[in-house]
Amino acid sequence: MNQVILLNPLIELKSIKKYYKEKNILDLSLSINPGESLAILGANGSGKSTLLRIIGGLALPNRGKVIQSKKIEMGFVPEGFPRHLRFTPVEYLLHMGKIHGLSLPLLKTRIEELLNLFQLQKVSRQRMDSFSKGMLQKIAIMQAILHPPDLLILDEPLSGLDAQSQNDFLHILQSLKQQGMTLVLSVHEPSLLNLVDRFIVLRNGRVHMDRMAKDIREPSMVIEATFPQKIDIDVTAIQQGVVKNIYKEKDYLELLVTPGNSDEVLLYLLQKGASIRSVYYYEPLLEWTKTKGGD
Amino acid sequence: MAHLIYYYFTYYLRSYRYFPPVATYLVFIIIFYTYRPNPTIDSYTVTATGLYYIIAWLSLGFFAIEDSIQHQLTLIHSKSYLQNYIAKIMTLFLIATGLTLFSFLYPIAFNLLDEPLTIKVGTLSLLHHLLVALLGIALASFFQRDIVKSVITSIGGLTLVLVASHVYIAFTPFIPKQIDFLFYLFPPAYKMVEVLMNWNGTTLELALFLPFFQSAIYIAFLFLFSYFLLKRKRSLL
Repeated sequence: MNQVILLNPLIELKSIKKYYKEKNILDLSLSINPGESLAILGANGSGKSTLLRIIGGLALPNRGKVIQSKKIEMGFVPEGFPRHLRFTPVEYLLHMGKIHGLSLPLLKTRIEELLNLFQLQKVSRQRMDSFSKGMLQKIAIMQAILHPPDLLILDEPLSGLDAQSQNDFLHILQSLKQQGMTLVLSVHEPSLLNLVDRFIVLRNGRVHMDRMAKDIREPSMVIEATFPQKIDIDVTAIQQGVVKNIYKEKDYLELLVTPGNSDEVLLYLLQKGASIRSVYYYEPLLEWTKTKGGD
Repeated sequence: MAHLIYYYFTYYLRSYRYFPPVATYLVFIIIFYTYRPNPTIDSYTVTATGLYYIIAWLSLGFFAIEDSIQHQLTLIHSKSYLQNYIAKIMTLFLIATGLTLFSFLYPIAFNLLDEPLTIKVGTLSLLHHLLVALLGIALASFFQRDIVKSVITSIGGLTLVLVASHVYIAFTPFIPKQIDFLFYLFPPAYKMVEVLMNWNGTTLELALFLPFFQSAIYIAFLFLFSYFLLKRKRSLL
């Protein structure tokens, strides 16, 4: 299988299980490489936000381990920054920085830098409860990169922002990525496709697809098949650069293949007794747009 | 830790939610001392009892004051769930100390006490105020919205326990001996009041301090138990 190869992950989630009242919320393993930008996609209730909270240490898995290669600094940009904080940006960032343990001189310099970068100098002494959503989202990022972190987690960072703010944001994220910061984002916007190196698609709390972003920019086809009986399909026999992704669940199999090789794969599946449910061109952008909505 | 306390203190002050409980307490003290007689020990016992209710009310609001998203960010920055919990309790204790000082110094400043204040009475009264304030904070911590989801259960449960902690003694004659040990589960607020009301203000015996020790243990257990419940809730997030 042409899967993403990870050598020295920054953070590793090993056989993570999260359930609530018997309901399975998350059941996966995942590694995140230093310096990579990973997008997490999925429909409502697929477990995106839970996964981000577990990566950030805000929630604990019921089973499995979260392993960090070293003691990593994290920054978290939540979906929907609080709207009614009665602090000015400077007061707020001073609070967060001091709580984080940053020294005052360093903190003051850093806040000055960030206010310039995010063009918020003019409102730096105004209380944030009068700010627009775009301005608050900037504060959300500023508090997350104050330290600055090794890993930046962003939950729907572009949600509810106007086109101009989204554009500003993309530039900021690009620059953070260029600085070597590891980014993990839960996103829907196709505009972020060019930013990420890798994406995973969650379905019912499981990793449905784990691909490098550059791979899915190429044309692909999806073959969906089912098996009437329990037949163990030897998927390795059909990989060899032909199959880009395999998703298997009970008697259901979904393959992402290069269009030129789809006939060969279809023939193989039919010979093995599979029923072909559908064959269609895979449109990467469609995968993003059909996952709109948060969980 | 100091920054966390300062942050929570500022956050609370800016919310203005301190105003109803604090104003109520200040008005209560002023009105209470307007009418004489004001026997020293009895007066301080009454103001401490008032503080017990007020600080529990204030604490319940305080525990729910931080926006849930902001709470996640504070946790990420402080990197410690325990530190956050302790900082909140310390902030509340700081507020309680301020109110204690007011209720202690106000009658002295305006010469409103019937007898001159001795060191023994003063020390024990201060200790009483601070301990019942801690007990109020501990109870509110147990009934906070992060542990008890429903508002009705949270407020109602706390009110019920606060009142029961003072009036349960009236029901003891009707309770069978076999289960009267259950009364030890009630917060020991009444016992502290009882021992001070019966004190002559001069002798210091062990019996005088026993309810205080019992309260300290009760408070410590309640804080630990609440923390355990909070941690457990976190694993369900």
